[in-house]
Amino acid sequence: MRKSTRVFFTSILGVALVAPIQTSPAVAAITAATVSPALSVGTGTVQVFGSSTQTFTNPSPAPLLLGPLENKDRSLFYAQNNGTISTPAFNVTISLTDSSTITSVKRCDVGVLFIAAGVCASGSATAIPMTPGVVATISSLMAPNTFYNLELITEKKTTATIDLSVLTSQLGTRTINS
Amino acid sequence: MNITIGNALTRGAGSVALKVLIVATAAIGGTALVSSSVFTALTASATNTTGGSVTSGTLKLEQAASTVTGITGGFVTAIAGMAPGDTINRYVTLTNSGTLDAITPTLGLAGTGSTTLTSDGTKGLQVVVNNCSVAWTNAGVCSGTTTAVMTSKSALAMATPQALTLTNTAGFASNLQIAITLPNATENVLNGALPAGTIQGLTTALTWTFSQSQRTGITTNS
Repeated sequence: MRKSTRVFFTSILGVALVAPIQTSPAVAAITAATVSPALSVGTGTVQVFGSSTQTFTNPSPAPLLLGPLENKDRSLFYAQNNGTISTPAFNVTISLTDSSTITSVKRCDVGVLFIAAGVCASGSATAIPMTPGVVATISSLMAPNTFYNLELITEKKTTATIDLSVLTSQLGTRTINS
Repeated sequence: MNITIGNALTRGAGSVALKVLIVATAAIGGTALVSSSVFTALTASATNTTGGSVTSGTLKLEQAASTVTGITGGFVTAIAGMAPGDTINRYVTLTNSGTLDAITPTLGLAGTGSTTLTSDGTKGLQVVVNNCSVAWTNAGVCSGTTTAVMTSKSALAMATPQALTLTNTAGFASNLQIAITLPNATENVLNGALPAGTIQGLTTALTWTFSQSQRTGITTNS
């Protein structure tokens, strides 16, 4: 056996003999642990969208197009939440073509339909001050699978592009002890 | 052996051999005689007839959900529908149920899957642990003394066990409040479409591991 080979095997033997002795003090301490069951944690969603019909299925994650709208005619649309989280507020932006302006935007209470111009099936219509292209925040609670019916009247013949959004910062904070 | 047979030379050699044999035998015998004296020396021993019991201590750690009505969820009841900005407080009693004091308590967290909840140190879940000297009320109020056990740590960071500030004497029970927060990272949900990398609509299963080590060894004169 060559000298280098002997040195190699001697080194291996030395490590094998000495290593356990050196590490034994570190592993001698006893530890105790307790492991919980798996705790399922899930996050919800808040998904507000607009549509021309009342449905809780979002037809498209795109702006709602209404029009062409005749001047002074009323047009109805729906703001709906098909997520799993309630939101205390949501945002509406209405952009108009042909330099039209907004005559009025109104909404009924949650889940209530308009039955005539400015008339809700129950309760009274609430006016929402709006300017074309400017975000308006509607501070009304919208729970999952609920909707608001909105009425839009424009000054001139136009096409409306309607965006609805929610910032998660609008959800506020809450603490639950359970 | 017949030493009378043979020539003088042979007799002379045999005589020497005989002498060597005799001397060697005497030496061995003498040595044996001397050695045997060691074993023949008198010995005495004393053995205790009472006491002398030696027992080792135990190191145990147990966790259980609070038994206070309304806050018994512990690490068992699922948490669903968390929204950004939500904090869910869970209440657990952690007991050093062995007979040995302990040191270096830690809390580690492991989540299933690789969701943002546990893989993102900023947008993911954050955990704070507090202790109350008495049981927490179901409104999350400590009527005794509240102490910080672990300042805010992300679930990501807790993949490596984090040190806890706890009393670990044998038999001591800690009333822990585990605050699980989903930070309010601002997301804009436009026209019902969740943004890329959203924190919404995710699920993970968290396993919580409390650990402690035995106290350091001591030398006692008694």
